[in-house]
Amino acid sequence: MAFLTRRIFQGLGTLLPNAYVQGFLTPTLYQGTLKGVCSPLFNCYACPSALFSCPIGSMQHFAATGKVPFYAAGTMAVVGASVGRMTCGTLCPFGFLQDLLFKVRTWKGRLPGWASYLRYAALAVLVFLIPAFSGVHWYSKLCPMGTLGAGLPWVTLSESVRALVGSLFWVKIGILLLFFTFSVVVKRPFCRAACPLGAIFSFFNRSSFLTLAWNPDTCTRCGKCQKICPVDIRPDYKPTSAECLRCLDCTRCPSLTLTTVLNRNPFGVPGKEEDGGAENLSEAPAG
Amino acid sequence: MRGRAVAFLLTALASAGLLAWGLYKAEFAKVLLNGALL
Repeated sequence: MAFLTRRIFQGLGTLLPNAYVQGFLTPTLYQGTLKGVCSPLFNCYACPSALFSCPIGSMQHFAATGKVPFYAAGTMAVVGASVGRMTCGTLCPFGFLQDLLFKVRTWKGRLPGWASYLRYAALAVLVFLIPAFSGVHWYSKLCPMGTLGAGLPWVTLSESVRALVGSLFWVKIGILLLFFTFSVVVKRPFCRAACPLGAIFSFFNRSSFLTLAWNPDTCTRCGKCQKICPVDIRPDYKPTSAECLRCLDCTRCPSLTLTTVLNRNPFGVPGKEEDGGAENLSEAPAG
Repeated sequence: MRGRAVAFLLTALASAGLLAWGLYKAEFAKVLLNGALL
């Protein structure tokens, strides 16, 4: 996907799920039929303009009430099985914001590899375990997207909400500022280390219908794919990596392409049935 | 590659089953709005 096209999609992914502008003017919260639909994006449903539900908030609610979230989990599983983490890379508003923050010219750092396991911990502990045992929705309470999309607008717009501001609100502001600061120096820190929705989609990246394929015969291992990758990975080392957001920026290189899991020859190499995925890594030239 | 295709088919079936069961139970997203506010 061309870089500009991805930015357009990210813009649409930010605007369309937040199309209830009336919510900011009145201010009221949209509670119509669409609110029952989980969007596969990290977008707070308590935002005054939000049309859809947050899947993480919904799953957390089911965990807190001791029920299994078949609908929310099923929706995310269908999306994940179809496109893997593509919604993270091409539509997610919070991912878009982090991409923009990383454009600020300053010293840049790297996230350690182990940090990516934290998002699975966030999913298991904050979304499921703690709400299941305490009945309190702790992920929503700490979620930086909730602070940005709901907390700040409501405190600004509503006097009655403003009167309820307590110490937890300032903790939430601190978490939001922390991720904003990290996003300036590290590529997508929230998506990689804290996003439970990304953690869910990560499970499907290896076997999703749409997948990334790599051609070891044409790859020169120049590493440019890592430089443009929004999560700082080497798609040529492992095109089906759980970290990959399927943003398709790296497919500007002819050695990487989007394909389907059913396509056995994505590069159209004559006489070659298997693609150049991670399985062919041993054939790759060293260096 | 064939293994991944089989894995996709299995996960797709399981995912569709999960979603279908949720829809059958008319279990749409439960909206909790206060959690994200303060």
